[in-house]
Amino acid sequence: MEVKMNELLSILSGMIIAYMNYINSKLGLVYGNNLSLVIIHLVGLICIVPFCIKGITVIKGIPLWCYLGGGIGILTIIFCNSSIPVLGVTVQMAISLLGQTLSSVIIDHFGLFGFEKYPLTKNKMISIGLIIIGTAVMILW
Amino acid sequence: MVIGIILGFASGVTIVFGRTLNAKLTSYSNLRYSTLFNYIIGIIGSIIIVLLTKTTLPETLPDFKMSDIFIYLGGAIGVVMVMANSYLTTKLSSMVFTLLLFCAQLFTGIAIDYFISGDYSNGKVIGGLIILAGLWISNKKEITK
Repeated sequence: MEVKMNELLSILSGMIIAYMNYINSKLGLVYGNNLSLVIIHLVGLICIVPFCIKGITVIKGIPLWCYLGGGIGILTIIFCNSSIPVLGVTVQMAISLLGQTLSSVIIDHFGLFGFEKYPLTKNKMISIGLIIIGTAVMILW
Repeated sequence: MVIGIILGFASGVTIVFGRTLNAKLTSYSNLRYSTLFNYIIGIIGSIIIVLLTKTTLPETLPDFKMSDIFIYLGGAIGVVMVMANSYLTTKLSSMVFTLLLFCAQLFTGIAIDYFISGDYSNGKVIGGLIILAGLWISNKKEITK
C-alpha cells in the first residue's frame, strides 16, 4: 500500500495548528497579551536562527512594506488570543476562516500587492455563502 | 460574544495580509530570509508594545511545572508550520491541501473544546461540514461560465 506521506503531513499540520492556537491563547491568559507576544516571537526566533547560521545577507532593493508581515503577525496573535477564550477553538477557527476567505477574494479580485488579478467567480460566491452558513450553524446550534 | 466574533474575523483578515506580505518578501529572497525577518520584526514590534503599554510581569505567576512547558512552544510550532506549509503547497494541489488542513483543524478544534471545557454541539460538526463543502466548491474548477 502506498503511504500518502504528504496527505498525512497536511492532516498533521492542521491538527498542530489548532493546538498551537490553543496553547498561544493559554499563554496569553497566563502572561497577558503583550508579554505573551514577546515570548511567542522570541521562541520562534530562537528556532529559526540555527537555519540561518551559514549567514544571511540583507538583500537590497526590497520595498520596505514587504517586511511588514511580522508586524501584521503581531495583530493576528492579539486577535486570536483575545477571541479564542470567548468563542472556543472551533468557532474562532470558522470565523477566522471566513475572514481569510473574504480577504483573499478581495486581494485576488483587485490584484492587490502587485499580484495577478483573479476576478470573483460564481463558485467563490457560493463558497463564501456556505462558509457564512456553516459558521452561523456552529454559533447558533 | 460580538466582540469575540469581530476579533476572530479580524484575525483571519490579518492572517491573509501577513501571509501575503511574507510571500512577497519570499519572492524577493527565500523562505529562510522571510521567516527570519518575520520573527525579527515581530519581536521588535512586541517589545515596543510592551514598553509603550508599560506592561510588567504578572504579580502571580503560576508555579512552573514541567508539564506546562508546552504553552511556551507556540512560537516554535509556528516556525515549523511555515516551513511545512511552504513544502506541502508545492507537493499537493491546493484543493487537497486546503481541505485536509481545514478538516484536521476542525476536528482537532472540536476535540480540544470538548476536553478543555466539555463544550460540544452537533452544530459544530454540521457547520464544519458545510464550511468544508464551501472550501471544496471554491477550489473546484469552474464548470459554469
